[in-house]
Amino acid sequence: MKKLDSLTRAIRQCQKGNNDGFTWMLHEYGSRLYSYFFRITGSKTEAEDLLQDLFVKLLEKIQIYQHDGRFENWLFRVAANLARDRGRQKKRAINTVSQFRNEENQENLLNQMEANQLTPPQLFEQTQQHDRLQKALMQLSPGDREIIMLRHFGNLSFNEIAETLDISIGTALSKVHRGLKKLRNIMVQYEK
Amino acid sequence: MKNKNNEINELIEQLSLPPQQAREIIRDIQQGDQLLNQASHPEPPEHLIRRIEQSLPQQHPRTVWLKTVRRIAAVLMIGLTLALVSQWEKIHSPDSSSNQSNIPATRSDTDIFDDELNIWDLALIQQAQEQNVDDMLYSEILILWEDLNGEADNISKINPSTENPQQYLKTASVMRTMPTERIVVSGKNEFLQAT
Repeated sequence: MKKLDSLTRAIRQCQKGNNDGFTWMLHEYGSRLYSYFFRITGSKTEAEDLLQDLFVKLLEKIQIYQHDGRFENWLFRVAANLARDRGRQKKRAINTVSQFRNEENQENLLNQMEANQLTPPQLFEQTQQHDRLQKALMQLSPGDREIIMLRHFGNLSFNEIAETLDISIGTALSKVHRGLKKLRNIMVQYEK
Repeated sequence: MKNKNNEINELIEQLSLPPQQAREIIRDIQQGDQLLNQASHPEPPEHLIRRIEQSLPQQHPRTVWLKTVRRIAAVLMIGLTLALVSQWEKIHSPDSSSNQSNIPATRSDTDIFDDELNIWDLALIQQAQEQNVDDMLYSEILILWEDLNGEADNISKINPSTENPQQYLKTASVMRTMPTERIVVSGKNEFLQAT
């Protein structure tokens, strides 16, 4: 209830041109959005650019947004469209497993050691898992990856996923099922 | 999680899937969800958050400014359209000729007080000076005047303030609504009084 009130207030502030609203949204949704972008692109740089672009877009889009209690879904739809547009513009394959390893591993390890106060073996295990998950995600098709991440991070229902991606609700269910099954199978193989 | 599971159950029911397939789907999706929920996900770096926060005040005024300009442009467009429509209606209105002057088209001797008459006379004189005089009407009045009062120049005797008798008659001819005879007769009376 409190979060809803804060959200409503933040939306109003944004619509009136008060930056406090945007700052609130950045802190409230920034992590999930960043994770979403990172998981579908596999690149830290891409995720950073996309998050920044999303907030630029939000400045415009929020003016026409009519709050119906589903702000998160709306926000993730905007995010999904932005990521897809970016993908189309760049027209390049998302080849990020090696990029992820080279670019992220060292930095993430140190950051998490600081943030979570984990012991080095725990952190190593977590990073390995983190790495494996990203590797597994990258073996899915971009469409399956997107749909799984929209559901996981954006909390979109099957109906909303179908609407966002312009597919039938049956196809949405089938893609989520197929993607998650494949993801789990890959992860099981890694563990062996 | 509970909501997500409920949603899957409802959807499977809605799609009328065979029980075996439905169970398999529910199991796979739940296991997949569990896998993702257990995993840690990367956090945005601090420098990115700061960069976005810093970029907000720089970008937002521009957005507001653009919005304001758009609003002003929209208001101007509406105003211009209304003005054009109003002008168009004014020009094409059937009463437009009568609306051009505030002077009534007809003038009656009854129910008009002397002061009002004087005001209208002044207005008519002013209008007459700006208008072309109907030559035919002027000639008619001149002939009538000369028949009754003699030379047109005598008019200065009737009304000593009239320096230009022809202008006086022209003015009178513009006063089309006033019967010509009245001008002439009243002029004659004044002439007789003067002599």
